[in-house]
Amino acid sequence: MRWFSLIERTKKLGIGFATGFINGLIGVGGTLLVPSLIHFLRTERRIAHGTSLAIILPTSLISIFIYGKNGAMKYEIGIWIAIGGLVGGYLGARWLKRIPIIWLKRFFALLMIIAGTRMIYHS
Amino acid sequence: MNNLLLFLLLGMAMGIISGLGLGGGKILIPALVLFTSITQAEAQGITLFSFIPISIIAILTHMKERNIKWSIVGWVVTGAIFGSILGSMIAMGPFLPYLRTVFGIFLIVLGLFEFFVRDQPREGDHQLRSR
Repeated sequence: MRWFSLIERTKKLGIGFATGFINGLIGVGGTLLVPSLIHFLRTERRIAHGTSLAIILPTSLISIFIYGKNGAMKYEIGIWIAIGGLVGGYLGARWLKRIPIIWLKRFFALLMIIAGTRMIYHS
Repeated sequence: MNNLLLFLLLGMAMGIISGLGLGGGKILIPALVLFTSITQAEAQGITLFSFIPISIIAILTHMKERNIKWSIVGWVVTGAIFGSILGSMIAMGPFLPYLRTVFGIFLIVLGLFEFFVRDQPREGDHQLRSR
């Protein structure tokens, strides 16, 4: 029993380290956290969503602090985007039940591939 | 003034996408970099920052519905603190000139994955469940 809890704890620390590293390196992190909570810790999807938010918040605060110390934080722009984001988040959550997510997901996946290619070949 | 409106609208689009559970940050960063004069590092910082109020509200909602398992949060956050210190310092230091390429590769890999891998049905998502 003790070994089991030690393994679980190591898994949690490892998932955390990877999440934090990606969060700091590229500015997003929740994307990979939800599936890894489900897959590695056998967390229920609903719980994984809530738990991932509680993990990302303190992690992002640390990344923001280090970005800020290096002069990479534009707080005013962030505030305007956050205000728009609050309104949009409310709308998105309300529309969730009425939109066929699978096609929207594929559309955004395609958009990501195009944007990613442009970012690499954009000088 | 024009720019403020643009940022408000970008934020709204990002909020809608993340409200739908499709992850807004990975779309917001390329939008900021490709359509404005904001640099990759700044776009990442803005995205991290703008998610703080959104996630506070989401956490409060999830707390009310008891969707947060604190026994997981404690240990994962402990690891995440070390990870984010290392990741942010690499991003602000040796990786700074290559951040956009790193992000581009990440976007393509994630995009391919999300395009081809079918997700499990979400709770409360009627369209998926009735298929």
